[in-house]
Amino acid sequence: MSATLTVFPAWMETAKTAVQDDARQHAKEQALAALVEQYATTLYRVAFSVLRNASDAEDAVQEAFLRVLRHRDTLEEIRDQRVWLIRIVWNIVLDRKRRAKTRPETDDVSELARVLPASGLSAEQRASAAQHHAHVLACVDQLPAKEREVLMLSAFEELTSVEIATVLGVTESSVRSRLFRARNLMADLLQHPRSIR
Amino acid sequence: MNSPLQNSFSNPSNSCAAEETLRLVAKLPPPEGLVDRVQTRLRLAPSAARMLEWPIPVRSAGGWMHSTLIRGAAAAAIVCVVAGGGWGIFMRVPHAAVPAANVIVMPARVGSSGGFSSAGAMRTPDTLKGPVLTHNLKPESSRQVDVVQTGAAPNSKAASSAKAGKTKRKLSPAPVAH
Repeated sequence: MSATLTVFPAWMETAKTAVQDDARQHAKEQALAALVEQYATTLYRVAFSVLRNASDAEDAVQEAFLRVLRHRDTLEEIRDQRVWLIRIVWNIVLDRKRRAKTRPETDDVSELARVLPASGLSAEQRASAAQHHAHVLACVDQLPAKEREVLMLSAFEELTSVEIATVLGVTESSVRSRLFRARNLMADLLQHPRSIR
Repeated sequence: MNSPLQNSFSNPSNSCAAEETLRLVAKLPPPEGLVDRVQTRLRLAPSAARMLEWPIPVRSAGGWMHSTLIRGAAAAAIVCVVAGGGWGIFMRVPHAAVPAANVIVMPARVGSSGGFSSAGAMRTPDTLKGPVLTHNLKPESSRQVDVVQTGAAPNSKAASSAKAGKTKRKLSPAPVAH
């Protein structure tokens, strides 16, 4: 009799715990869905700026959120979720870029330059703009990796130098010096193509 | 009149033009339905392993040591371990009648030389050399009598050599060691 009296409240407590667990699980799923809703576009842009391919960038975004799904229990501990997500997708795209290094990028550059917006321009100006964009992107590819990464991330207006430093895992002063060097190198490259290599 | 973009083309040394291109790339719109596809992929992804919950709460208000169920389970486990160990020992001990004394059969000895035969060779012990006397044990007078009676030198070796040489020498008395 006493055992029954002991076990019954225990089962009641177990049921309560199960309900609480379900609620917690549901809350986590909701938080993850909100993250996707809020940051999927940003992550896609970051991925696309490196990979320059829509399907590859989307795959990278999905992989990033799958990684987040694995660590959803620790989501509450993340202070800046946006920078944390950008860092995840940044590592993914760099890894993919390294794997696909053998693929020629000239086609990607010309294709990307063609799709860049050039509203309000005549057909001739549009063609000239596409040519210029292709030239700039080719010069960006010639930059050293560290300078190129900083320059790409600085193109995202929503990222400050501190956040770029967090994404790259370096100090803010390193980001500033690399950005300065990248701008100088880009100016040289645009004046004298292939002056670096 | 040129647009700002066109103006930037005219000055290729201006790296801002390059950054403008990168900004345009960064602002490209994502494909339609990206968020939905990501949500679907996340929903289809295998959920993480979940730990099975024990139906009875292990923790109680005063800690696990104050839980009656845990204490009972621990006591039962200890009893099971002790009983099982005793039963195991009991089952391993042979229950047949043990003889009073075990006779240990010694193996037959092959030989004293470790299994090798002597091939019929017989060992002859070395003859011991006796002690050499350096002085006479008997007195001089009795010794002379003995020499006369026997007609032989006390030293057999000297006698034999005398015989061999056929020389008749007068035996001189042996030196007496003092």
